[in-house]
Amino acid sequence: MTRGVSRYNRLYMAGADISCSTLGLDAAGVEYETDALASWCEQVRGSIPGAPAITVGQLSGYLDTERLHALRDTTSSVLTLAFGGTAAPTTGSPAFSAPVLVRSYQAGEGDTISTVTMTFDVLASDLVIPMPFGVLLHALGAETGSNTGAGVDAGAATTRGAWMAYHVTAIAGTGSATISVDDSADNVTYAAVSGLTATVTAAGVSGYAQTTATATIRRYARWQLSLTGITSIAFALAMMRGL
Amino acid sequence: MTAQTGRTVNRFITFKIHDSGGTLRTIPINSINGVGLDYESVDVTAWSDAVKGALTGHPSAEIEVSGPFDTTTHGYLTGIVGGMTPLSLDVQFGIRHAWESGEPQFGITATSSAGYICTSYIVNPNDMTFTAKFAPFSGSTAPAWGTSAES
Repeated sequence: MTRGVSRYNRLYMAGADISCSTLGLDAAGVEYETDALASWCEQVRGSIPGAPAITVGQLSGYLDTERLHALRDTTSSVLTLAFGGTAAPTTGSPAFSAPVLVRSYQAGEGDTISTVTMTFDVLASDLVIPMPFGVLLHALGAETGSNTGAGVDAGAATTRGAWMAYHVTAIAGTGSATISVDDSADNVTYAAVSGLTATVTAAGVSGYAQTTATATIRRYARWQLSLTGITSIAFALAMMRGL
Repeated sequence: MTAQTGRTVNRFITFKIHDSGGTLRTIPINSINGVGLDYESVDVTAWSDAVKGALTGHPSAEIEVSGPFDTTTHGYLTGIVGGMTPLSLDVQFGIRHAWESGEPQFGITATSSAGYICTSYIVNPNDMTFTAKFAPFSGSTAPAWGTSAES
């Protein structure tokens, strides 16, 4: 059981690490519509979870031309929040991801330092797995060759699909990189998860990929990287399982 | 110790909910509201009545809790939010010591058609707290006050 404080959280958006410009984020979660009804003969008003809404609260941060200010007109991106607890997030840390666009970007009036607020709309209409919470498979950092990561144990296989969110913050060399997810039943023999793959050619990008809604994801998952021409890539990768 | 009577304080309140595997888990909280049944008041007054009168209709029993973000709790709650399986829920009020049988509790032991569902789980990354909401499953029997633990 580990509790945490916000200074160990990390926030990525549109392929940028904006943690060092962020002063706060009000909320990150999921809320299902409910309609508490009771037929005449029933004892208590009850609900069935309806459509889920992924919630991303207002972000506040520094007015910084290199970070938040540069993202003010973002129309399609992924936002990923990694929870570190008592140290910077690592592989297996809890994460929250959502496809977003920037709805508002407004400069505020700080006492001394200029600050801004940013609000978001969640562009989740084509997400088939309505779960924003998952785990980091690759904490933000550089890889210099085709490689694979350590398996992250979910405790059991799941059968309601998964989606991955990635942020590429730096690339060296020219070519392409394919980021993907493997799964395994025993943490020994891995195979690619159909649908969870993305190819990038430049830094400063984010995106997501998903399986079908009923795909089985085996107990262990890890990142997989294939480089063609590129000599180094810095990226973060999170995977969210449907539950 | 034996069950005690009298007043108590919130440090002896325990909130428990089924995880996705059907095991009751204690969720560390620092706020809870809505523990109990809240009946709608149905006005049955006729013009000719000397005084307005009401009867109780269906009760609501939604519960909202907040607490410190915790990786273990996070795993439990992300595993049940939006789920369609009714869950056992038990709010235990220990009387000036850790709760034991004979002291007040409110909740329900889940069946395939009765229990609670988790309808919302929101994390506040600023202060690293969470808020979760729970509602009875449609068609469920009513949760109730008692003195024996749910299972």
